[in-house]
Amino acid sequence: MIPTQWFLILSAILFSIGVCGVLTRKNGITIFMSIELMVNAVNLTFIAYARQFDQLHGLIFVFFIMAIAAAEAAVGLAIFISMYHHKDSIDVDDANLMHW
Amino acid sequence: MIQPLLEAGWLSAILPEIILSAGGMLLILLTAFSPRSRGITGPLAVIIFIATTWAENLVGEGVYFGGTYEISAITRVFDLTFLLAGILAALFAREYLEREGIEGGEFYALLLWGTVGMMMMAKGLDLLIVVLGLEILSVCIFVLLGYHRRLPVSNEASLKYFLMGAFATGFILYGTALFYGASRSTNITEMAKYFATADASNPLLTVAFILLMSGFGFKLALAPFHPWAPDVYQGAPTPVAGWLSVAPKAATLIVLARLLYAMAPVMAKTHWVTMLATLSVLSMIIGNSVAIVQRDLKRMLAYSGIAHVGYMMIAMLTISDESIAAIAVYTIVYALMNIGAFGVVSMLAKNQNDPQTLDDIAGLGFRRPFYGLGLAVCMFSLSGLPPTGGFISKFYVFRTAIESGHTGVALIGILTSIISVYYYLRVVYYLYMKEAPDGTAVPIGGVFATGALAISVIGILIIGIFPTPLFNMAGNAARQFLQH
Repeated sequence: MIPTQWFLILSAILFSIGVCGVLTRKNGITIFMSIELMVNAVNLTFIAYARQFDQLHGLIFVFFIMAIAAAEAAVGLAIFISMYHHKDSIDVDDANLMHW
Repeated sequence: MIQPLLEAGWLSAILPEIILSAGGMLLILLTAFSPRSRGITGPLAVIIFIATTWAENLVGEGVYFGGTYEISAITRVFDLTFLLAGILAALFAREYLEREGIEGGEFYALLLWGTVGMMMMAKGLDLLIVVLGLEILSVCIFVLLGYHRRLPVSNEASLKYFLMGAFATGFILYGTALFYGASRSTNITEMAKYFATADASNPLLTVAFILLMSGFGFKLALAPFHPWAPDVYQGAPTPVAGWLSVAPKAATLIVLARLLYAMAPVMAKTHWVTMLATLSVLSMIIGNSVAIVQRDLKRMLAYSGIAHVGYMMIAMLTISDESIAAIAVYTIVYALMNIGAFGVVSMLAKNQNDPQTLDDIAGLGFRRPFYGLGLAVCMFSLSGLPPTGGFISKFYVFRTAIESGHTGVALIGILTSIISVYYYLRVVYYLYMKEAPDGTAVPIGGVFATGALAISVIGILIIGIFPTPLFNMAGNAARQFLQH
């Protein structure tokens, strides 16, 4: 059996890649993909712990997180479509109407 | 056969949530099948909110759904805060939406469902319920912010909040996962048992705490996680901005109070309190000093909101019944004064794409005396001048902090709130001492917005002059809360 630490290290790396993606990318969809990567890294952490503790609790949490991520994706893509209508672009640097 | 984990009375325990959810669906169906009834969706939403307030009395106290859902006196106080914020926002929104030509049941339905999410956050004893409530609330906010679809700024506000909000949710989830790994449970009661004996030097706990606090700090608009707030408030439909600046913060604060109370044994042995104090001090300093240079009213209120969360965080440094009561009172007063202030701004008949600056309210005190007076009372209350509710609640927060030994932070709070008097009273100066430039539009408000403003003003003054009943109620509720 693979030790739990390996899963935790992998999920920490995935989470960090996701954070870097959010901070460096300019395309809205790519940023959202990076956020999904972060959320899936969290899922991996939950599953690894649930396996180690032999509990159902962590697995149930994962199901809910997946549902949450799907709901967020639906609303998020609608927002991007609306932005595309206004600006012909989903580059977040173009969302610059407001600044102090 | 699998036995369901349902205690007696579970249905009446979630009666407020059921009424709100069903009411929201009713509003949407009404708009879909009878487009001509759009005009009555606003009043209907207010009636649903009032019915929910009545239903709060029918709910029996106790823990339901297998120890995951707690109903007690303090959750009732917070529920009433959310409902108050919802009623005020719906009343201010009615004529705003009519004027902008975007009235519809969806708007109010999202307000109702957002309130359900906040109630779940306030009552959730399991982090799963808390996260679920938080996401129900967040998804509603994403849509509400972009509700003014034809308006580029509204879309931009929605985009910014969506990206930052989803990012912050990732942090909250990762923090939750690590706490689950450490304590083997996501139930806050179980976690409290773990924290009582936990090894505080475990770096995993500190990492998890930092992740969780970054996520919640974002939701609260605490500095340094605040930069989204001014842009989002400026672009959002104004009644939504008022609601957003109050209700989600109240819900996040009660969740944080639960978690910090459970973690108290570990916090005593680590530097976590210092981290919280740093966030609080940064918020007060950044919020109050940047607000001075803002000329856009909504941006100014956004920075003032950052500062106010800083004040509320002072009470969170040590969780006691006093501090929870202080936060409960503060959020109620804050709901009245901040939604009231945003409400007056929402009445300015102006292209919502342009900033709504101080010049737009010049001379308002004489051209529309009641709106001018209402905004002035809200400003006095926000700056914490007696005899308003803002003074009493701020005084109570600072007193709690000094009694629990956080004198330095409380002193910074008092000093920065003296600075804040400048920019709040500048609004009053514009209201009464400035001549309106030619062609400035007169604010338009009907019976709904005027009624909501009257509720705000009367509430602020009553709490300011007769604070004892509210404080006793909150104090008793908080004492029961901490007995678990």
